[in-house]
Amino acid sequence: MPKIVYIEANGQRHEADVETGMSVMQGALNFGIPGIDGDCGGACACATCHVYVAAGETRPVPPISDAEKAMLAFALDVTPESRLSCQIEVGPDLDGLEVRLPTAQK
Amino acid sequence: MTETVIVLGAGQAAAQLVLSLRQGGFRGRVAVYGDEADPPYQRPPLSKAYLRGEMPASRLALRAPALYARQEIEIVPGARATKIDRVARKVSFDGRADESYDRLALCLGSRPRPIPIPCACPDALLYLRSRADADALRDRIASSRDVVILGAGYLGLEIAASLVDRVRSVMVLETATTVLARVAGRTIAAHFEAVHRRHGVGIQLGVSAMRIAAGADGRAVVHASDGTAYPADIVVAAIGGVANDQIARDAGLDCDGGILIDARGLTSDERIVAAGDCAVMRPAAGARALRVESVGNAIEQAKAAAATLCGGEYAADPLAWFWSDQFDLKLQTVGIPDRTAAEIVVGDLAADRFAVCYVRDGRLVAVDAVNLPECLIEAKRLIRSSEPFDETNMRNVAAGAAARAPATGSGR
Repeated sequence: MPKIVYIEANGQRHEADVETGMSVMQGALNFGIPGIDGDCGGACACATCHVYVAAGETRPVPPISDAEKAMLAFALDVTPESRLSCQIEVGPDLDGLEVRLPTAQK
Repeated sequence: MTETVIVLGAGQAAAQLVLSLRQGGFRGRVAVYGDEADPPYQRPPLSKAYLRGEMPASRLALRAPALYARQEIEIVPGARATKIDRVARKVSFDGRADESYDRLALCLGSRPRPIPIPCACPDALLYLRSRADADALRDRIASSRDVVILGAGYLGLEIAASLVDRVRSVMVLETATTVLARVAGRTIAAHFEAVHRRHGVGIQLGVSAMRIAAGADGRAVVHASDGTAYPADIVVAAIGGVANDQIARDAGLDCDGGILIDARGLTSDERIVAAGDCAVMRPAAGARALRVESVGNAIEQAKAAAATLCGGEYAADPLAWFWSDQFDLKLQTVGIPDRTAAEIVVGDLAADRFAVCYVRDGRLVAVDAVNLPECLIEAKRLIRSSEPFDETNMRNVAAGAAARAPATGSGR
């Protein structure tokens, strides 16, 4: 199973095995990662699953959609590295992906 | 220190409440008793992607079962509570031993409002609330040609949108003179009605189903108040929900269309909290109790209740939010739309990219945004502030949305 690394704002790292086809958000919920709420269940409707993916990331993270761009404006502390983790589907080629969490979701 | 928290119900509110309990440092026993077969799962997809077979059952779970196990949260499915004894502080169940509690959390949800008409074909009459309901509906769709849906609220319309390309005909009957009569303004209602008709959904407004008869061909026939008869392989009733508060009323808790709670989630018994669809915030003197059925409401009330059980406080976000996906329309709502408010439309109706601003006494009270989340940000800020509504500013936000550079700025 692909491994996703979640890094809390305080630096705490969590490595979680996430089933292929699940989103990075669902992986975090299933692992109980603090700081990802995912209130809408991945419908791209709440912006409570905000993460940062490093600009230099070489794994093929799916591109950002217009809907995601628009919803991201709801999140706090948005940067060019911001993504909604419900929109990132996990596959073998994302194995080892690191996502950093913001300090607050709301 | 509280030792045992028993949670009745295993939906969105229950899942949030128990996880928030552990996050809040509660170390006692936590056990969740739900009357369905599954651990807590998402209900919104049941009328959308799951109903269409585009989402596997494994994706419905709110959290992986292993998470509850790691957090030492007992999830007990198939357990129907029958009685709360507030003096002895125990709960009785159908076919299992009583459970004692120190604190009790009621997350009992709601159930579909039953249609108050005679039905000679009970097998053809379906409701949609649980995963089992959705599975039953999916099974029946495969062999159905004509579907009649009673009720043009969000649920009825979502079901219509999900099914219209799967069957020969979908007909929605609605007693009110518009769709979404209780939940959206006239602009949204007219727009959604037009989009549904364009996709082939039949909509009959201002008529009530009077009875469901058995037709000569073995199918059901819905007889409407205007004299029309609608043959149907299945009839789906979606005329709203009713709080599951019977067990609380039997126990003598204050209820008024739901279990009455305060801002901390406490019921009229200080050992018992409630959250989600089954609960209703005790209204201010003279105001009407308003029960809200939404994911956001369940989450906020559950967090408040969990904080109370942990001896702390959580300031729940009072701003309601909802979403509905129908065809290519992604509707997002903040606040409670109200037909007594003025409706100001910004954006482009023809392009399905617009927002309806509900304004009363110069203040913004709610926004319905269709494929235009940008307007929600400004709306949230405005509703929370006491600033007057600025129509020009909102028009600029809508106009700028298409051209807006992605994901920059403070985003606040």
